[in-house]
Amino acid sequence: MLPTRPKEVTLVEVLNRLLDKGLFLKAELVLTLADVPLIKINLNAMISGAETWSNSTIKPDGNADATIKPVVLAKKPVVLAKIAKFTEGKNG
Amino acid sequence: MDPLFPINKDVMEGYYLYCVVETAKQFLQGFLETGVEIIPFQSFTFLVRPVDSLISFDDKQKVEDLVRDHQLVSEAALKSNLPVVPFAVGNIIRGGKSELKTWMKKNYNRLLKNMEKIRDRAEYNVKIFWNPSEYIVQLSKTNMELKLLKEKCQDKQSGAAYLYEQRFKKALEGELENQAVLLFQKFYAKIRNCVTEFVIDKIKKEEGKKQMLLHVSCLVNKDHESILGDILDEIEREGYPVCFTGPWPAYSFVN
Amino acid sequence: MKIDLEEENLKGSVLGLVMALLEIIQKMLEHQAIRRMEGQSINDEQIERLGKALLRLRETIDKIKEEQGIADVVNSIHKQLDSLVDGSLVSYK
Repeated sequence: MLPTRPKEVTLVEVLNRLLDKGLFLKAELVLTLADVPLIKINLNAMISGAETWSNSTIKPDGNADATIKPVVLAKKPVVLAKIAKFTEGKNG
Repeated sequence: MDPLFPINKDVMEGYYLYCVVETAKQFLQGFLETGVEIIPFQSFTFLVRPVDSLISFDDKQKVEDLVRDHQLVSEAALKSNLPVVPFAVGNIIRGGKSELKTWMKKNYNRLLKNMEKIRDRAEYNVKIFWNPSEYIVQLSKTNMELKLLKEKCQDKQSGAAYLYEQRFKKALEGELENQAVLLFQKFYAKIRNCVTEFVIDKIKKEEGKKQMLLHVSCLVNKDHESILGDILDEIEREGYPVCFTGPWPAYSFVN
Repeated sequence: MKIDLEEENLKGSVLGLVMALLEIIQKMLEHQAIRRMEGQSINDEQIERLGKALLRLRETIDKIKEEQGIADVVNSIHKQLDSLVDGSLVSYK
């Protein structure tokens, strides 16, 4: 068995390939400020190139057929960004 | 005072490891002048340097100097034609001579295994390139899909022409990539028989017309070096530029 | 995940980041447009409109890059983003 030739992959190529396949994104995001949760986002998204979309049958409830393999990027609640940490009491 | 390794003997931090040479005899070759110490241990001789501070990797210039210094010492050791197991850059054993000897004892078997692996062998680096422009000319005559796309660029309006041109470029890149993979496998198959072990290295995008097809580090028996050289000469004669360097200390094949 | 921006040239760096992202979006749109052409799911008139729009977007980006003198910044950001991908992503088939 021969090895594969390692190719330099760019960000655009990866993104394009993801879109060609299609991806199913499920994420729970919590934005916090100074360690206090303020905004919570529950995300269920199917993202794909339009050609992929028209080539597969995707029902509204999100159950795709076998042509799109779901890629679950984030399962558990994710603290997405601690936007700024203000030291309490110093700036009034 | 060596600016790279300022030594304050009262504040000995440890020993910096360069490499291990398989010889029971101490050999000098001008090392002592540079501050490198030669420490025998069982069937090996260690090349080390006493240092009084740990290495910080923040100063880019210092790191570059360190790497160069490390390579010079290891390559000088290799010139002795004895088996050399190099350490990676930046290893320091903390403590004095006794801690060093304890470490040596503990790692002796591992080093012995490495020594057996590289004995009578050396690391060589092979890069093979091609200039795809000739192949592109050939493709534009023979490949039907590419010809059709190129034609479409001509007789359409500006917007469609732009897209067809992008499509053409994509298809062309795809064909080049396929050919590059084929050539890579062809060359790999040619050289694998005289190579004990391979490490596939990263292929970097070259500026200009040359494109890198293959980049490997090879562990080669010393008596196979000329065979490998002949095969690479043949490949170069077929029109593929080759960069063949070595022998190097076997950094890629020891652990 | 760290992307290096020059402190002295913050305006250029921020603008460079924006243009780099725009370029990525333009390339992705173009790629999907080509896929639709290949799948023959759009007609000639749509192809012409798409091509014009994508070309105009690309020319606008190039013009801004040239006028603001940020072509090098943008290239550097692309290189950093690409090396992130190279290093951390396992090939996804």
